[in-house]
Amino acid sequence: MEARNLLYIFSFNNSNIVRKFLYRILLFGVIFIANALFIFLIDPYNIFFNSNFIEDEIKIININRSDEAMPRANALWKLNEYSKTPKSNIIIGDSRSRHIDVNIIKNLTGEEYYNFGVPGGNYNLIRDIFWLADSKTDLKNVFIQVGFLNYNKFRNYDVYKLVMPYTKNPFRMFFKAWFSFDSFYALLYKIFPEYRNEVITSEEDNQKMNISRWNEVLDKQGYSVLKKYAYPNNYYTELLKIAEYCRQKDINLRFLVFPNHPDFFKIVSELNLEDERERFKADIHGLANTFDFNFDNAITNNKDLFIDLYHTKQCIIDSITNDIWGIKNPGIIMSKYSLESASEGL
Amino acid sequence: MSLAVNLGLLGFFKYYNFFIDSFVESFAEVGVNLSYHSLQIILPVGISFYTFQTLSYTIDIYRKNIEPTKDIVAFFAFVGFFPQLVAGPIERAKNLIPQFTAPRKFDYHKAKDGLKQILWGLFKKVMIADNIGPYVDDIFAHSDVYSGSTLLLGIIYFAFQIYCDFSGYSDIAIGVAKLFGFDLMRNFAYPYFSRDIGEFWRRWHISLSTWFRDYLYIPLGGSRVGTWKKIRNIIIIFTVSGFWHGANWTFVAWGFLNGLYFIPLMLIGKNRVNTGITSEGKIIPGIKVILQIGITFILTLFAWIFFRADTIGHAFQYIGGIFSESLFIIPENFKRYFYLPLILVVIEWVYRDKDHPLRDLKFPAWIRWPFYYVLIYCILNLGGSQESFIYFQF
Repeated sequence: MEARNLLYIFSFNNSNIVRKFLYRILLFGVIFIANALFIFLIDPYNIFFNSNFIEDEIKIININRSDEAMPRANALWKLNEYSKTPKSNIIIGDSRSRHIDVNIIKNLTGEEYYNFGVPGGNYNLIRDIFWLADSKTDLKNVFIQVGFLNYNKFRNYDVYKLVMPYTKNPFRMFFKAWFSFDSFYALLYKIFPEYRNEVITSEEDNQKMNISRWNEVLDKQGYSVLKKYAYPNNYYTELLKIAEYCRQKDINLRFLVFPNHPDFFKIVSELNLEDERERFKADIHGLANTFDFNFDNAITNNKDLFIDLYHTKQCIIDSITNDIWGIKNPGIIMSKYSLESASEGL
Repeated sequence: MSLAVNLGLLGFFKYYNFFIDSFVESFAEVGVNLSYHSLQIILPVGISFYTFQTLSYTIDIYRKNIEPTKDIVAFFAFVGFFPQLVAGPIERAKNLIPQFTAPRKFDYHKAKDGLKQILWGLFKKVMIADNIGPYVDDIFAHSDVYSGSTLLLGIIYFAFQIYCDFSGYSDIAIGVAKLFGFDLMRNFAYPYFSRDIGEFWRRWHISLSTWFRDYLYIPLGGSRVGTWKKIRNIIIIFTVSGFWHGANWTFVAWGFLNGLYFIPLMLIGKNRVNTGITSEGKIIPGIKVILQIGITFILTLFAWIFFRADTIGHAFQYIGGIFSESLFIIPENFKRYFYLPLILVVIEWVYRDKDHPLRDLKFPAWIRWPFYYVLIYCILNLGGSQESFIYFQF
């Protein structure tokens, strides 16, 4: 058979027109190339080359700029940061554990912890982060912050699955608008400090109790979520796997339950979910030693110590941190006395 | 020999377990329990498509419509042409093989049009089919608990899902082929604007419909026979067409039902009345056309229930669910993407005189390019979860 016959399928004999076609495609694609270059240079998650053009402090402000950005941005930032410098002590959880100050823990114990608290984190995220951390280093202390709200079959979104493709193949970021916006805001905060300060102020405002926000959380993250409840067999099974693995590998696993405001218990009661909540507590306590602050105590009864139903103020988080990591024998359940002392002077 | 090998492979991979299971179940109904072996067969992807393509080659040679090619590269390129290998359009040797052997020049306009068609195909697949697909799955999986109105919405969604999924793939395949300078046959021609079922089948999966017309319907005598034979022929080709989709009685029922829809039109000689562009030259169609389109769409919806259901029993349960008191309440939770089929219908209606809506847009570049960017943005950022093409399973 002639060579022409084998090659003709892929040959074009008018290269000028092909060149014109490719030139037009290039022209059309300039906007995509520029966008990719922009994301690459700003590098909002320090994934490409740890760009120093924008400081890490600004990038951290950027990842917390909005409720929409926070879950995925925190998850991506932390997954990337942890992968570069894994630590054997970790805290996994949601927005409540995000504010645990690892410097306090270092002062108390001399050990370095990595805080994997991700706003919007749920049991899928806990599972995935635990196994990812375990694959990166030999774990020693693992604190998992849990709550009843997400212990629900229907709370099955998966932030980890959402961001993991970008850590595996960062070039995918060039094709997702999220990262264009992230890069844009990072640059905006760098050039215009007043916008940056707005985010800081807004986060400070979020630390104050606000009745309209309280009611919004009560409705949207309380009633609306809990009215559709089913026991999460899969989550229990996953936690059990983690607990058994930790026992086998001699990893010190602890669960941590933050206090909720009594308004939350009212919802639980009104929706007849008290038995389910008790079952949650029994499940968690049965898996590993648990620091459970979610009982009727000096914190839970004081609305001034809460930002919303689920989030306590930073001073309470610091007190809890001191209580957990300050004691010599971690693993006992906190006494009512220690909680009262934690809230003294607030 | 060639027919036997082709049909034998298709029959073995696709229908062996179906026939064995059905045979044994039939005997079990009358109290005879047979022991048997079903095989763990993995269905080769796209087997129905390239088998039909090679069958047409053999039959066309037998009928002396084409000469057998002596060019082995061209032959295998025809059988395994990658853009349309797994889900069509089912090409004819007469159309495709000469394109492999002829000297080709890069055609700028064809390549540009190909890119636009790929873009439109991706938009239909990723933005529409993949976004509404999970809703359809949920509604069909829980059809026993959802209201009649939700079930109705579910089947409307499915009608658009399967259209966008399959015609999206065809557009991508045809567009990719155009980039390489090849012309594949048109596979969809805005089927939901059809004014009767006959027209629907001239606009839906055209490469398969014409295949059955040329290689099954006409050899059976087509419409040049007596009334009863005409009816028989119609029922045969529609039922076989359903069976081609998969080894399940639901597909057979879907095909049979479409055959039933078609028979009255054929008997009164009105199956080829509506052949042109629907309401050509008009932005808003007349009442009569709207009614015709509406009735045809409702008939196809009804048939899609059988196509999508897991079993015949499931299909009847679904239909029963629709026709209940809850048909008149507002559907639960699934309204979020209702705008997507509407956008599709509007765009396709406006450009229904073209092969695809992005061909030859009469706008300046400063409008066209941003429009393309918006489509690309939607595909990359607002698309649904990645799902395989429905027709890959066939």
